Amino acid sequence: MHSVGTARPELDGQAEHGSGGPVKTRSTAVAAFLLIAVSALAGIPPATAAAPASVYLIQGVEGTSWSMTIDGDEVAKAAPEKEIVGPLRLMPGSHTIAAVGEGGVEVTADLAVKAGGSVDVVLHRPVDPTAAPLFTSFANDLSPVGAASGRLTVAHTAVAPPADIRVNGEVLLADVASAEQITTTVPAGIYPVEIVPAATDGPAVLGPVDLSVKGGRLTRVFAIGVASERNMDAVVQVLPLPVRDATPPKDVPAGLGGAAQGEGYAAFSVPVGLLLLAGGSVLAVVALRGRREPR
Amino acid sequence: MRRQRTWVLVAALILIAFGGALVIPGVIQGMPGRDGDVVSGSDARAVEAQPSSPATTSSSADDPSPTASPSDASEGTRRLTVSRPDQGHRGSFEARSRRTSVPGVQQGRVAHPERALFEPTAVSFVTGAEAAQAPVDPVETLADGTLELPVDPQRIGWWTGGSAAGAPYGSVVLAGHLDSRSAGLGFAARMAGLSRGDAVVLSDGGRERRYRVVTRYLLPRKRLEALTALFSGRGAPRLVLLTCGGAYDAARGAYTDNLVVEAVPLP
Repeated sequence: MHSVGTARPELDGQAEHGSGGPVKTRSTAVAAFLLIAVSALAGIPPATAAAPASVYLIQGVEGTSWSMTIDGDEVAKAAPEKEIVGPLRLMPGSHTIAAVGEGGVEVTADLAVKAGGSVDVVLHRPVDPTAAPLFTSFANDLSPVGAASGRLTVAHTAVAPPADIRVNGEVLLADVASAEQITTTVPAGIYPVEIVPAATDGPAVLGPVDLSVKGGRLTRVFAIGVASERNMDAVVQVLPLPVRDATPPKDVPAGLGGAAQGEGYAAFSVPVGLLLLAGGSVLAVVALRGRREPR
Repeated sequence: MRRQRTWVLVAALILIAFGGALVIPGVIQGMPGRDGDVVSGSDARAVEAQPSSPATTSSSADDPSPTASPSDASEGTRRLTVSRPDQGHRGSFEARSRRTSVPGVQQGRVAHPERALFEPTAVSFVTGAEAAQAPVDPVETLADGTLELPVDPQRIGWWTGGSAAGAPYGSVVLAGHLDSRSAGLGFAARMAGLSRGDAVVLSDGGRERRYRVVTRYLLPRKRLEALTALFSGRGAPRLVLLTCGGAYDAARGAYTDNLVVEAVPLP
């Protein structure tokens, strides 16, 4: 078995960027602060107050096509499997999303979104393949990652048992059940992934397939299809993330020189202390020996 | 006569007590890095006598980060393509009051939230039955190329450019000041007491990740390549603890080495 560590990265973390990261972050922060200060002075509310949520709709019912609406407005007409619609700007609050399939099957659900949120809504089959498709929403983690790393999210929206996601035979993400997602951070690179029933060595229900994870990106993978019908597939979508500097330091100066004091103290105390110990021992021996002699 | 000897004995004991009182703190101060003379003597040797030397343990060697080009091993393997989204609708959708007749969208759950990655806010060293904890602050590489560290030596820094606790690849790097002029020995001085098999626990108040110490060594500060390798985001997951050690060079106002402790995650 290979180690998980044998993924084949495309980029070398150290070579990827220079040392300007923290400076850049700081100037961005300053710019953001100034912007907020100026808008506050001008009486403009900060942009985040009424920022719409960014929503992607994913058509994850294999072999069928669906038309989709949000609040009654059509956003996709006869979208085939794996179609992605977005980013749709939904103001914070409640929205009605609906999908109409062939033969007039309709799926309707209420979606509540938060200001500035990033949400994927997947139309997919439930674990029971005879039941009607449903919408499942997944929130995206858009927090920063190191420059040479990417965040990877795998969502289980397939008709399949709980699964492990493996890379080179090693479990990367364990035990993900239907309507669950799991997230991790990995070095940028191309990963040969396979999805196997949880806690087994396979056979794989999907893969191995090569999955590219780019640095500074959130890569979402939605597993769709029906495992028992051998038509499992994956929808992949990518969002940019804020990036943190990942330049390794050239030096770690982790002593503030308290030794300067310590040196003087130890230089004096150790020899003097040893002298006193020696003297004391000699005296003690003399005294004890003297004590034994008479009688 | 007997009384006189008793007095001599008492004097001897007093001398021994004073001598001990002077010697013991002097030696304690000389724990790794604290005092140049003492460290370069017994302590440095003790550290280097550990089973693995810096040359073999610095993970530049065993970092499995592959150098093969991405296409090599994946010949014939299908590649997942990133879907290009259909823009759909460019306007924004105003919120409306919730229609109670419509069920809510099923919320996707997070599988095993207890295994999720986290940025550590506390670190504890468990040596034997004893545990000592320090708060952890995020730190970054400064413009001059050095690692920023919490000024308070009782706090430890977590390098934000590295892996988070629980990440499947790369180094989680923690570093702290060994000492400071005003506050004396720092929490990181306890690193010198860590040995193979001891536990190091990272937490964020809720989640917890345990590591087992595999090696501890002194790394000369001029060995830049080995230091760089310790910060690698690739390779097997590990925890790297850093502080200063070795001799104190009064002229430069710095220590000659970094004390490095490497630990591997426990399942």
